[in-house]
Amino acid sequence: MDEAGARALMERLSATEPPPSRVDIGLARQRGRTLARRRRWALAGAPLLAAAAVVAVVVGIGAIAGAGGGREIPPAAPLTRSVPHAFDPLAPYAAFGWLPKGLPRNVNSPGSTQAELQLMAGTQAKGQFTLTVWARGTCDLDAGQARAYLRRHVHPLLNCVQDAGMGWSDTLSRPAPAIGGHPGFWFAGQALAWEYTPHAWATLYVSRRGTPVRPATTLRVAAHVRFAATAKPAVKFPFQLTGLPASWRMTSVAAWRATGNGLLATTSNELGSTNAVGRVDGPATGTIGQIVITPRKGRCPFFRGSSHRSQRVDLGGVTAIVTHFTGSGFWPYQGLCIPETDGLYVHFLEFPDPGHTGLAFGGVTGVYRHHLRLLGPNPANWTTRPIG
Amino acid sequence: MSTRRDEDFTGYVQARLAWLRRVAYLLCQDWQQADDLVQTAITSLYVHWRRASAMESTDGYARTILVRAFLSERRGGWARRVTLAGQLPEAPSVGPDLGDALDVRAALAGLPPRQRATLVLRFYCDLNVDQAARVLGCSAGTVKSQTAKALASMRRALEPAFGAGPVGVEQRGNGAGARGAIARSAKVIGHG
Repeated sequence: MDEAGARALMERLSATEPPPSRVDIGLARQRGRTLARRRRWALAGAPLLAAAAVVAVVVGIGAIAGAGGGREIPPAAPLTRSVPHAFDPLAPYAAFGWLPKGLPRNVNSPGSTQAELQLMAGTQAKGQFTLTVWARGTCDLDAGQARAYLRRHVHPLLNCVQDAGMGWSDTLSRPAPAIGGHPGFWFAGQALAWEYTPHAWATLYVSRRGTPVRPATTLRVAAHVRFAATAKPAVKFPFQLTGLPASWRMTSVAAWRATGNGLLATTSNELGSTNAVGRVDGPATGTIGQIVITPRKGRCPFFRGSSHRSQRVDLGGVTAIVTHFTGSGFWPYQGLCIPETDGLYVHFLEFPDPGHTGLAFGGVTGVYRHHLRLLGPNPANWTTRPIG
Repeated sequence: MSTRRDEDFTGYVQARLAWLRRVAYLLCQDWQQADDLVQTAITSLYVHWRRASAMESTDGYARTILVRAFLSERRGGWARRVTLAGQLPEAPSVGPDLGDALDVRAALAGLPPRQRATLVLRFYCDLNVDQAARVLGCSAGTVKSQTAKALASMRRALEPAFGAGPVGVEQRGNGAGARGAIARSAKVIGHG
């Protein structure tokens, strides 16, 4: 087949008479409003309902300047290694290098995926800095194009796509001073965007109640961001999955936190996406997702509906709530929840591989019995290799 | 949210819904999945509507969301997934050569998602290599190689079905057999 043939093929196939549309525009507006609210809430520093709480202890990130927060620190060294097209969620790609004196030294991560890393530091009272770093190729503009648009008094859209068509975008409003030698741009008032290396962008949102943060401070924080900060996995987990196929990877990590002394406090179980383990390339496969394992005792929902049906299962002396989800239009999937075992709350879902009937690993009970190793509530025993 | 925003958004989607559904259908090869994909895409479009509506090409923005949602669903995550392999594609009864039409559609459905998306962007949406690369989030070189692989796969898939007869591959030069096959299937499937 050649290109002309392909064009003809596409035209003819697209001419197939469609059935009545099932697309609901009103529903799209309604859900879109909810999503937009969550994004604004997260950026404002409110507790992250949309980020799941996995238990993670971050060590060695070393992102925050020491006790003398006002000390002059030279800007971050230029990147000598190539920037990846996909981050390793287990090895946070960037870190703050300098933050204003007096700012709380806790760094939180609202999320880390292969496309995006987000770090937050500070408070609304003293100034909150939200750094988002995008992997190479995830944003569709380059700095040269942006400058050309602005010279013509056109405000270009910087659009960075995460997945499922979701992501982030905003309109660049005016040039900013260079950041580490790279072109910078202001947007949304006092937020900063810069191309930290060709085809790879970072943004820095700043907010503070009362007096706005000075632009010079924002520029200084940005100039000291360290990229390629962590070469090897640094996020520690209280569990390890073993015996999985070699192609499986951790595809996203949420809600780890680093404090000034390097210890990570845990977060609570929330809605939304959490850690996910699955094959990252090739055909769609099963996924073990929404893994929430925290050193606390929690509550497990018990469903009695027709499409969500729970049962109590004894797993070697541990009572688990196993739920079967069989909503129409979905391949059946399962969830497992244990309020407390070995000092940990355990929750995860398993989604099937569409190419096979049923779930791999014997379903969630099989995952728990044969593939999940719990490491207890003491972070000293946790691992940076959640897939062993 | 302002009423004006909702009105603008609704007006745009209503005007472009048929086009969005066709692009989604070419990607998914299934009308139900296509509608689900469009639903996902326009939800995201609503979130970013202020920016999308200010762009020079709102269509381009919507198309990017649609294609990336398609690829992301196939890549993994919590979205429902239905295998296309082995499913008979939907098609109205159009005549005695229905079997050929199904071969063509099955050949397209058999392509890996990224190759299928590349063909749709290049030859239905008429994007050039660089434009397609930006939508797909990859390099121009990758788009070229994906295009070549997809065309080769389609040709291999279609040649056995159209090997015999006056437009068979063995009777014509390189590519002509496939062109002939496409022309035959075009008469079967399309309205031209």
